[in-house]
Amino acid sequence: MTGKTLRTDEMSAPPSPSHRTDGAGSFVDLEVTSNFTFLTGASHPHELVERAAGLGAPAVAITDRATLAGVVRAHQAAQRMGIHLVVGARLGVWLDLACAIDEPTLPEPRLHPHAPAPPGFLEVLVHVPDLPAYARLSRLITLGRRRASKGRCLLSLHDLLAHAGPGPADTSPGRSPEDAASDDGLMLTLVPPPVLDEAFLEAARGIAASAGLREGAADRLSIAVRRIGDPDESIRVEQLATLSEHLGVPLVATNDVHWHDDRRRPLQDVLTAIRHRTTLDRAGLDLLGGGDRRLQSDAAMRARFRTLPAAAREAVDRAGSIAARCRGFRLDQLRYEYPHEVVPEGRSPDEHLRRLVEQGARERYPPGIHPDGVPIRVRERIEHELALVRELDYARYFLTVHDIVRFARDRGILCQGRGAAANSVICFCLGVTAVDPDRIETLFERFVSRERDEPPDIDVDFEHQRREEVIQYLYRRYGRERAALAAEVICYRGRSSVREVGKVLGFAPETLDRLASGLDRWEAGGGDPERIREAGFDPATPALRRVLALANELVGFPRHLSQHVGGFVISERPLCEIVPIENAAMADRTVIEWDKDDLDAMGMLKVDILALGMLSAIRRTIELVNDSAGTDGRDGDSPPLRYHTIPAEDPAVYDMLCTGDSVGVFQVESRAQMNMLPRLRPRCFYDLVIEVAIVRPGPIQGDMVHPYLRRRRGEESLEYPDQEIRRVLERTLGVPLFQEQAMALAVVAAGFSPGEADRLRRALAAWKRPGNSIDEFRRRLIEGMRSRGYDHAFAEQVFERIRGFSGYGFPESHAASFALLVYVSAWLKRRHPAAFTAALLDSQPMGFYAPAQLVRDARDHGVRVRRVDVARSGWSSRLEHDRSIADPWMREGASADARGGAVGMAEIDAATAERSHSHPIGDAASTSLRVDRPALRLGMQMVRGLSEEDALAIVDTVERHGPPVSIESLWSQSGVGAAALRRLAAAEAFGSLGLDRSRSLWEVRALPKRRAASLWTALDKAEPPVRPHTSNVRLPKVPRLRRVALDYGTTGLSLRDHPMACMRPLLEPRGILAAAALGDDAVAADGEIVAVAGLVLCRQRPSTAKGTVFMTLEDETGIANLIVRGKVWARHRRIGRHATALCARGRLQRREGVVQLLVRSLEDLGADLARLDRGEGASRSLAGRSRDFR
Amino acid sequence: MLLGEDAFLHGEHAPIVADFNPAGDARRLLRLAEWCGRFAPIVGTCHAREEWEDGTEPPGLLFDLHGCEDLLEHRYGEGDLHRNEQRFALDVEASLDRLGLTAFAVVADTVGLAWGVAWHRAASQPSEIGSHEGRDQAPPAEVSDALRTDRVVRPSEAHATFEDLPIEALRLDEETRTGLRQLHFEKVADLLAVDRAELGLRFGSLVPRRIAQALGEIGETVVPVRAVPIFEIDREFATPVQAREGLELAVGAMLEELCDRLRREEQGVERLRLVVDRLDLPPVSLVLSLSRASRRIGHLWSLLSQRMEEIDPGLGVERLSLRALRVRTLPHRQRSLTRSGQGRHDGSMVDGDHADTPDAFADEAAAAELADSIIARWGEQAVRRPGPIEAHVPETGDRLVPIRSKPERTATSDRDMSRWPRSLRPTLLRHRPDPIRIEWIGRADHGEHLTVDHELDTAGELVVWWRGRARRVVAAEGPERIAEPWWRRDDRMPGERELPQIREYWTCRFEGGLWAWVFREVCIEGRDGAESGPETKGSHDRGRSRVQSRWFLHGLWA
Repeated sequence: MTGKTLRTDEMSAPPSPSHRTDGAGSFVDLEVTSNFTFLTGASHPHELVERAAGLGAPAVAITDRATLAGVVRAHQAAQRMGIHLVVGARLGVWLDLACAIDEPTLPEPRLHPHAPAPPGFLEVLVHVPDLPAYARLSRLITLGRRRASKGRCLLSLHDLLAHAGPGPADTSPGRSPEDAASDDGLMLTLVPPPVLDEAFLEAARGIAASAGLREGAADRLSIAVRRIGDPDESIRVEQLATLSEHLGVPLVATNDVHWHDDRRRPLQDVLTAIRHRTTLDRAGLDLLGGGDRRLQSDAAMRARFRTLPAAAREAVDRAGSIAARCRGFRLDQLRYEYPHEVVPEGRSPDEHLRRLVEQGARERYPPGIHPDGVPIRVRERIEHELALVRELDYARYFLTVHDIVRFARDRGILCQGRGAAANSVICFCLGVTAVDPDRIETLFERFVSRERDEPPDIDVDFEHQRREEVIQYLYRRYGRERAALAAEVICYRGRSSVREVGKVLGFAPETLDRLASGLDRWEAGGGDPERIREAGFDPATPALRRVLALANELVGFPRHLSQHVGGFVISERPLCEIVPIENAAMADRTVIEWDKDDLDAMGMLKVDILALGMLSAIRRTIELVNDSAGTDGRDGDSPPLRYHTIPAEDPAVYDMLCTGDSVGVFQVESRAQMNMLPRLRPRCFYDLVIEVAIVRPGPIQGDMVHPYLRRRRGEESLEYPDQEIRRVLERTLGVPLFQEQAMALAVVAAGFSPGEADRLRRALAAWKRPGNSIDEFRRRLIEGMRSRGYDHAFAEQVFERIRGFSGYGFPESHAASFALLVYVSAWLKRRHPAAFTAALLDSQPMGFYAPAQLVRDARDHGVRVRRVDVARSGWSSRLEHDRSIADPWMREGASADARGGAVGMAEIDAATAERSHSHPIGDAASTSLRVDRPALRLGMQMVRGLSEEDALAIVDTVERHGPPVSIESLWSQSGVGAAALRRLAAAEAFGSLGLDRSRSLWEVRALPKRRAASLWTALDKAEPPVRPHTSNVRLPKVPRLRRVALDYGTTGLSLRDHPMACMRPLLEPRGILAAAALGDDAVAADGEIVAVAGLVLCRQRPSTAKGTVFMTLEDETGIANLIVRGKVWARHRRIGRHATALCARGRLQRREGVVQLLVRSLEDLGADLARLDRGEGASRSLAGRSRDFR
Repeated sequence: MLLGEDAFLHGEHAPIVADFNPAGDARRLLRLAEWCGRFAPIVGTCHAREEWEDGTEPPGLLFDLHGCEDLLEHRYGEGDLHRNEQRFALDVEASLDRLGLTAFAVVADTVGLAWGVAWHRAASQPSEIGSHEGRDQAPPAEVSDALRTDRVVRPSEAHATFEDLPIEALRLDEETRTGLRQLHFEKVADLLAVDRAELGLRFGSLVPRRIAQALGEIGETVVPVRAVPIFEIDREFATPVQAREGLELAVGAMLEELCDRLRREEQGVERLRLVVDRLDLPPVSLVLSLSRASRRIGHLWSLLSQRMEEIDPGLGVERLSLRALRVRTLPHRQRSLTRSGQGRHDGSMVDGDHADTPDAFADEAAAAELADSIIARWGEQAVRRPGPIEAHVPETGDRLVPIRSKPERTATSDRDMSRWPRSLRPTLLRHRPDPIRIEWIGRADHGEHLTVDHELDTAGELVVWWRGRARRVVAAEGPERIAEPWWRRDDRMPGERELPQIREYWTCRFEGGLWAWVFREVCIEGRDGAESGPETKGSHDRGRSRVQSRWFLHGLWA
């Protein structure tokens, strides 16, 4: 062959279809490493497949190291490109597991051509010719991975041979005879080490012999040979040719592909250096060198092997013939079955489902309320849904989910479906979802669609503290072989890739920190030059441009597999025969290798077992309310509160929400929601559904908020092009707010079928991913609309609105599920504020606010909050009724102050009362409720560093012996160590003993560090030595701010004072206003320039706000909302980002009951705080947990 | 308030950041204490001796001035003890300042008080609250003038001064300090208000002990630092010596004495300094560095005598001082048994005198001595050795480094390379590859350049022009591909314009039997023709990319 012909061949444009189908003899790359071999392969699976197709190959293999994580993506690309994907893996096996079983010292498998293999280690390429062989490979990888720690795989040669072909070792259950007949076994290819040593020859001989033993299996073995330009290659090729002849095992040509295009070569070097935790300059021979590790065309391969011995020349054909044999398996042959055991014996799944649904419907629509039985509309829909479910054979899926929900109910774990499932009446009847589909407009096709042939996605929220019970139930019920969590592919993102690439190129860590922190958000193309300049770098320098260019390439590369938040995959047949299962980093968790997109593509069932803190809080509130009603005996005759019996549409709840008073309420407590509430003024449940849906990036970007608000206020008239569109959009005043509406628009206006409309939605959700068909949909939508007589501008507008969602909009059903939680939590907050706050505190961390803000909000609403106290507190917060519990502090309050500077309860209560008066809803409501309102006693879990065990021991002691008389007696009775008591003392938890912080610390310190174990301990316990506080030393007086700071430092909040109150004398002379004064016209007019100061509660920069940052400050009077425009932020970034307390100056804005400050400048108050505190680190303990963008 | 990252962000000049190294600090402090022996007979450190070693408290030096009153009077010539002490403190500060160390010295009656005042008095002054961060670090630079001048705590004011100190001044461990702070004990006065026994019960016996120590109720002595053996020989001449012979004689005798002492301690010298004080000229100092520790007089003398020629004695040398600046343990070695009869009769031990021990050790030692001799004359760069560098590119696989430099650490420097495959490399590798030209005879279709991989081995009519002569290639094997390190080039950008250059190596046999290693440098530019600039001569389209190649001869096989 001459150079010229080669050139034309290599130039070949996308080859003709005939070339692809008949290319059995054409060369196929069988040794291909994608970037799912983490930090090794330098190309995405789809890039490799696309390149192979471009080279005219009929097929391409993906053989990552002991993983099938990338095959689904490769398969999808192969389908798109019209070539075949040979599924395979590259396995490292130990000749004798004994030499490698000591896992921590297991050497990293050889990954490049220079390093010698560890002795007794052999690499084998495995390709899958048929379905049973695939099951074997998947099982084999599972075996190796479950045996090793996360990310590793440990296999012996014996394991490989036992799984390689049909034989006695194959004992997997459910294997039918016809499976066995078509079973061809795995194709094995030995990868020779750089030096063909004795160990390799021996292993090759052994494998050849054992593979030859089985009938028809001899030609399943090959030996890989490469001509890619590695050192001493020609010698190796000759040796391998001899070996091949000697053993009768054919050679197969491979290229050890690591990238699809030579331009990825630098990135591969970078990945290698990252993997070895070194720099490029020091990586030396760890780098792959110059070998040509990219995909090759048939012609190029033939030219390469043309001059070699016969055995090697045939190697090119051998690659083609292996690939041809592997045509027998395509990934979409995998059939997935739902579990059987959810169906009782002797009943079909559909019958069983019908029975459960009808039973559920009777409970949901009890005859007492619905005298006519289940409403006709609902009944019709049940029939419709059941028919579709039968047709698509999803009954077992619904039963599986029902089974999970039933388990949770039995255990008393609150759960509620979210997402699209709320579109289904069946799910409502089965108790999976909680929103009556009658109350909202639903679209079953959004949930289950005939055309999609894709399993529906049911997400169920569980109480976050008890979700693990549900997960472990699933593992127990279905076994580790059949149930596992879906994976989540963690990818490199902007900052992490800049850091890693920079490190490898030899930049100092400090420099990289500076550079990376300069890049707040990663822009495609490598960051904003302005930002980079601001961080002190010249973006034009080659070194920096190189870092950014490489980092940009690295973005999106998978880094490791993590576990999905809760996506469970359950199957009838062993799951490990469909996809390998591996250990997660967390104990007792097993994870499959595919993520949720892969599962979607493969049509596999996934149930999302999600955790939701609010559910825990709701259950706890209800418990507290019922308990306190019971103990108090006041409401003994009223029925206990239940989640489902919370009264609907309580106007007081909406009154509260309309004022934006929503701290702690689910979803609507964020600042954006709080601003929206007074503008939207929700008055009914459906308003809440809209409230939840409207403050989302989708509607905001689609510019749907303002039209909606204007129309709601009647400032804008409504016109619909026709009745059909009116029907779709009427309930949201002509503005599409929900995904369903976008879909319905496509159906109504452009003539899409419901299934097509759903595909449109999916395309929109994934429009950033490669190979998306969005333009196709756009054309069809606009054409469809025009053909139905809508004008082009309207069609464009509709498309843009639909696109505005791009995955960020809520489906109506989901918004409704969340709105239900909003209502329930708002009702609890309004009617049982003390119990609700207690429950929120127990469910921390959750929501937007730290305990300090929650407690403050509760006190603003007239709840009396009491400090942690060893004699009163449990581990969690409690409610206290003054009638039943005598409070010695109440009586001793006055004297306590004189004694040691402690703040008495009276003082606190007085402060509370004063505050509650100033609050709008405190007045009328509280006078009536105040009489029997319980007080909130903080639990010992607020005490930093105290273990639950110690706290419970104290609670137990108090229960048995009554309130302790002294610290010493508590110490001797409870058996709690002095260290734990010291933490309690630091948190000032001995108030009921009449001891303030200093005094109790002083006492605790006198306890011996170690307890003398004596026979008399038991006796001591029975009769505690009562020692009065003899020590009458004069302890130093603690200044005010210091006490507050210590409160924050030990319990995360202070009941005394707000830190800003201590600073007020400093702030007032400077004309800095209190936050509450901002809303007062008498103090400052709208548009005036004012200043306000406070602790930073949160900083947010929504992607929709074009660089504007929203900050919230808190002072002793309330909250101030700041708007910091991009330019101002750029000027004050450092202060804005890092200050604990700051002072903001700017223009006051009052609009529709929302007060905001348009900031012009920021000033750090940290130094002033520190001065007040005399450097005791108050600012550090106050820093708390501001909720920030990161 | 500028700490850590904040300091970076705010500061115009980034501070120097080094890893915290307590052991190194302690070592240096000891050396400083030793140096301070010039101020007082007993110098100790308050770092090495304390019970706690949490490293958070700054270390310091202690001078015991007990009984030094006369000495101070003699030195400063005044009768008032306190003024002498004041001058002494300022003197110490000034001396340390010349070493580049900022010091703050305080003279007080007890160790505890002196330490506390030195470190913490500044912080207790009301005017200093704003810069409280300085307190934990070094004494603030902007200490007021009043403080600067007052370095002595008089007995009459000792108690008041002590009361006013913060509790940190008590030399307590971190945990105790936090505990006290938690109870808001701020000043020593707060502690003095409380019964000491009660304090001891709660915060450990250290608290009352420290108080008692500072108040002088319990004695506390300064333990002098353990003197490290100093190998230093001084020679002072009664009359200045001008004659070179005299000087050489003196230095030779000093060297002999030094080596004798080194031998007794089993030490060898690595750095040696000779200071020559002259009558009319400034002192001159000669420093010798050795490749290897030695105590062989002959060797040291040969090095020293060379350098001594440089010295101009001027009107005469008054004083010579020879000191081993850096020593290393050099154990005695036993002479081989078989040759013991021929050695010196006084014993079986030889000490660095390897004249009659022709073993590996001696060879090495001899080589080192030779290197020293050459370096002494021609400088560090004169003697080099090949240092291996792990790299794919052959000519960068090693380089010559000064013999005394430490081996460069690479990823492989600590791994066993013995099992790694060794590629075929020519016996003679040219550090700078020779450009060559290749030519096809009778095969016009190839043009000037080889285009197809693996084709050279059949190309009988290929001719290589090297050093002006055409050589016909009769056999060739290859290519082996080697990538050049792209990250070292500053002008080009990966992924943007150009890719790493790849060399394709062939092993060629020329007619006449000479084997040569030739390579072609290939740079593959971007796939889009528009980006790759004007088509240059010698580049051609390979469909997927543009290839530019140049040919070189890199090595020959003997």
